[in-house]
Amino acid sequence: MLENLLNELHPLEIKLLKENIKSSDEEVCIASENQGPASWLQLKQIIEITPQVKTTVYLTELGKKYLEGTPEKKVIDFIKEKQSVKITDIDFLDVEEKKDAIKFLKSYNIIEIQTGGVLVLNEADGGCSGKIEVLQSLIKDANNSLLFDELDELKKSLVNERYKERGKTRNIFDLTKETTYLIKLTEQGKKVWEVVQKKDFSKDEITQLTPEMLKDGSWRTKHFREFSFDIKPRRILIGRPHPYAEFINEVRAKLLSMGFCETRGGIVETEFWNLDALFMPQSHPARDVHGVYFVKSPRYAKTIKEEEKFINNVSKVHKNGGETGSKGWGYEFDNQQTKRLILRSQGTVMSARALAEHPEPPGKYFTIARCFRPDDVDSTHAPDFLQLDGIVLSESINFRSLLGLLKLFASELACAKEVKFTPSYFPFTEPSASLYAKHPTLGWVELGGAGIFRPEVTAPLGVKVPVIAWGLGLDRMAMMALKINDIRDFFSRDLETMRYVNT
Amino acid sequence: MAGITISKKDLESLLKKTLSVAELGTLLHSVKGELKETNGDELKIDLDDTNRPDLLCAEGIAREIKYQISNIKYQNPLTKSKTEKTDNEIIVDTQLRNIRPYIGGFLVKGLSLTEDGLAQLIQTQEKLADNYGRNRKNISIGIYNAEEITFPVYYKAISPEEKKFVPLEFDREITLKEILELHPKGKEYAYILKDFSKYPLLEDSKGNVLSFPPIINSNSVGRVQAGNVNLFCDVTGNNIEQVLLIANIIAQNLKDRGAEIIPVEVKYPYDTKFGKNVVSPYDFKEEIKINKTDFEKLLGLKLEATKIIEELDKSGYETTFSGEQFAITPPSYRRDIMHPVDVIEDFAIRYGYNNFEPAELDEFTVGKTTSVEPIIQKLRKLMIGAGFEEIVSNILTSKNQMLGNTEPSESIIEIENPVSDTYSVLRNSIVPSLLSVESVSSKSVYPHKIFEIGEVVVADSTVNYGSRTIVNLTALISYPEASFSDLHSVLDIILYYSLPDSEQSGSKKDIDGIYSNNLQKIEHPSFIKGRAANILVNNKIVGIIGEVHPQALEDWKIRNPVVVIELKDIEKIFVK
Repeated sequence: MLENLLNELHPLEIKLLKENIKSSDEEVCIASENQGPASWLQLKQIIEITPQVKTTVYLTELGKKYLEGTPEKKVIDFIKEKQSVKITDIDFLDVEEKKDAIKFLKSYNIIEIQTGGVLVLNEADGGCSGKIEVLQSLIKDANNSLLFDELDELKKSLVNERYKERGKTRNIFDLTKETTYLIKLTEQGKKVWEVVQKKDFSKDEITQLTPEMLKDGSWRTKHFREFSFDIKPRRILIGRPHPYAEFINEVRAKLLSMGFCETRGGIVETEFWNLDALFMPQSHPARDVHGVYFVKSPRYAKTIKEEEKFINNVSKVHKNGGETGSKGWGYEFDNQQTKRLILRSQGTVMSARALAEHPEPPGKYFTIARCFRPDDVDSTHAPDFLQLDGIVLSESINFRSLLGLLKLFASELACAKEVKFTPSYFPFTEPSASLYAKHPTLGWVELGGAGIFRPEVTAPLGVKVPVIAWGLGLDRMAMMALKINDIRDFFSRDLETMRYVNT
Repeated sequence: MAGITISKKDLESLLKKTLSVAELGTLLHSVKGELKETNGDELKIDLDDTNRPDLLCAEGIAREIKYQISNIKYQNPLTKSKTEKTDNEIIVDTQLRNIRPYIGGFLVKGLSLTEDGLAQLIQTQEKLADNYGRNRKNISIGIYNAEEITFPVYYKAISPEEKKFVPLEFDREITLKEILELHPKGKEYAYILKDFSKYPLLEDSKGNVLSFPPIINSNSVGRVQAGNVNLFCDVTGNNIEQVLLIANIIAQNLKDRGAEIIPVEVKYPYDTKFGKNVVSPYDFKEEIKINKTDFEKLLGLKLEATKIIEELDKSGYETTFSGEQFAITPPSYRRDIMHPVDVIEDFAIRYGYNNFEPAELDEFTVGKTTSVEPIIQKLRKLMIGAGFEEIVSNILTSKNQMLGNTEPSESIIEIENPVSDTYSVLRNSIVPSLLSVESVSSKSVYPHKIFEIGEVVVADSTVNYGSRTIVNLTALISYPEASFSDLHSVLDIILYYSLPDSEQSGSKKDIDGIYSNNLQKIEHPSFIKGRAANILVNNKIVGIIGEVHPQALEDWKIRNPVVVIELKDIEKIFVK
């Protein structure tokens, strides 16, 4: 034990023990540069540290000016010298000082003011004039700094009087509090100290191995000081990925591993892709399922060139079902409204675009898309949110494959052991289902919606096989996975809080 | 999604069975509903299917879940006999053609209207008109005491000051114009009629006013009370299919409550989709043909025809089967069946989603990410390796926050209908996102080295949609000695590791300061003069770097020097 303590002594600790402590029972005050080593020694229970607060009295600028005499002292001396003095005779003080001094002297009955403004010393002042003398000597002593605690009661009260109770500009004294540290060896420390006093810590002890030692081999003849591991390491700041971004990357990796191709698109969309191509009629309660944000300017896409191939089909399907066997919504499609620019409100937009681009089976596509809807922001609604949407096109898929895929997502993406499905409504899928996963503490949690695209969606885009479509709310899944209760915590503005998020 | 509130007691009396809240919650799934809250007798229910106005009431929900409890066929649909001739007529004025052209109506006999029933009737009427009927614009409904009406009823258009009557909740006769100005309902719905010089009016053959559609009923004929036995109901609107559907739903609801429904014939002076004389409740007579294999293929099941018929019966369909094909007629209160898939879903719901055995996908495909994703991930790793902490921010922000930014304000895309000013524009730069982190992080241990790779939207009048969504990389350093050179070094090493070979101006071997000549000094109000630059790659501006101006730091309440860098459209810069 003692051996370990000795081996691990840092050169600075040795220096402190050797040079500052002269006898084993001594209590010593340590200098500030020794506070570090002292605290290490305290951790090793070699010494005890007692902090002591020391108050020192200094003179202010005014105090220094009063070294040659306070106004009160000057007035008394003047009266003593001249015997009879009128207030107007005092010309060596400025107006304020004179007023203060006379007021002070009078209030302590040191002087009397007689008719005609004649000032007379009061012989029976009860020793008050003595105070003036004491104050004067205090000023003199304080010029070389004084320890407040060593003063007698009278002097303490005089210091306090001229420190706090007057206005800032009238202060004579300034007090500063300093903490000094007294150290004392513990019983164990005394043994360490004894050895340290006798031992020769020669230059052969190595704290830091240097390139020079390696080069000249001098380390061979030296001794490595052992380290103590009890000391808390310093905190460092590191570069770090955001937990939400990491979660998204994991989701992406899983989708890629399942054979899905990722697609990406612009945030500003047309009503055509965001709503019309998804068989949401231009004016119908079905569109109330979600409100959308409209772009202020420009309001419309310049052309629908990109959509030209599909727009006739989509328009027909809305009107009368086209050739899909549907009766359609039964209204005249508006070719201007379809160009209206909005913010993407659902990730399903990207599924429609993927179908238009790749109508041939087999195909599996997904997107991780930032979406925007006019909702109030609260613990579960961020101003914009991420949706994971995707599709599968295949000759052989059906409702059972949809449920199988959803079950796979729940176990792969949300680690859910138990799932259930409920009927749901989306204007673009039929049948439609909602996916619930059993969370160990939250119970059944809705992960998202899915269904088989209606023929009114697929046929106008040139797709001839059934298409499974699904959309999962990533924010909610991330909240579950990262155990966060408020969605806004992901987008925290405070760096230190983010540093404490540990996933 | 629509929310309704119904009485549990009322629902149970329609079902003729009491249910626990848990049982009810499960049953509601089959109508795509969710029990949100119970408060004594009150049930608050959210309904998903916006295409099913028939479900926005206790009667509708009862119809759909009844079979699951009693396992018997729904017994009470309106019969087809309603197309018979009837003596009760509504005569339509030709002027209404361009105002509010369509009306449907029917008589109700022998109803014992309780307080609960009346409350439900009024709630249904309001839900249908406000929700499905878009605040009465497309649909409005009137219910009257039939005892006081003498047929035929006239649906006509009159001048705003041509006639006076006492509206509900008033005690004196006023004109239609005054109703729109004075009556609370008049003020609320006046917008519907603002473009017309004549207004709709419904009156009987003795000149008694029934109502001023779509605004308000009269206080006499149009006041319905519990205990009324015989009622008249009308629906007006702009789309005859919607009008007839809503009339059918209300008729069915009252029939479910034990009343007899007597049809009314509407005589139009103009042609409608369903002819000039239209009887309501209306039988849409729409039969849909579905092959048995259509069910089997879509659902992935082998099915017996009898099973399909049995389940569809429970949903109120009339179904016949011959030659492997079903002929199916939906109930008259539903017009949401557009395609065979709608019927197949109804079957699947009755079959029970959780009774399907999930199947695996069997086709092999190769997964592949987008062209920009690899460079995003590469840059993230480099930045984290360089000691930066990653930030994720929202894209929607306030206009205020974007102003004085490194991008000109005219390049911001604004939202026309924001919910609040705080979220009213799309960010066109990530710099404000990172500055906003700094503005609240003065107590976080320094140095601060943060970055974000994310989407921004920049206005661009040359492209079809007027804007482009691009991915930027933005980084920020802040601590008492933060300076330009801190980020200059980062820029240099990032470019070294990320640029395609051909675009590197220096020698690949020389890793030290090869891009130092690629900065072009600029003056910019957000930066300290002489300490800001455009970043050039191949003589093209790809970003900006600089020490943020102390005035900007003051505005953001940031208390340490800040240096930022933004690389714009990283796909364009880094993807070969």
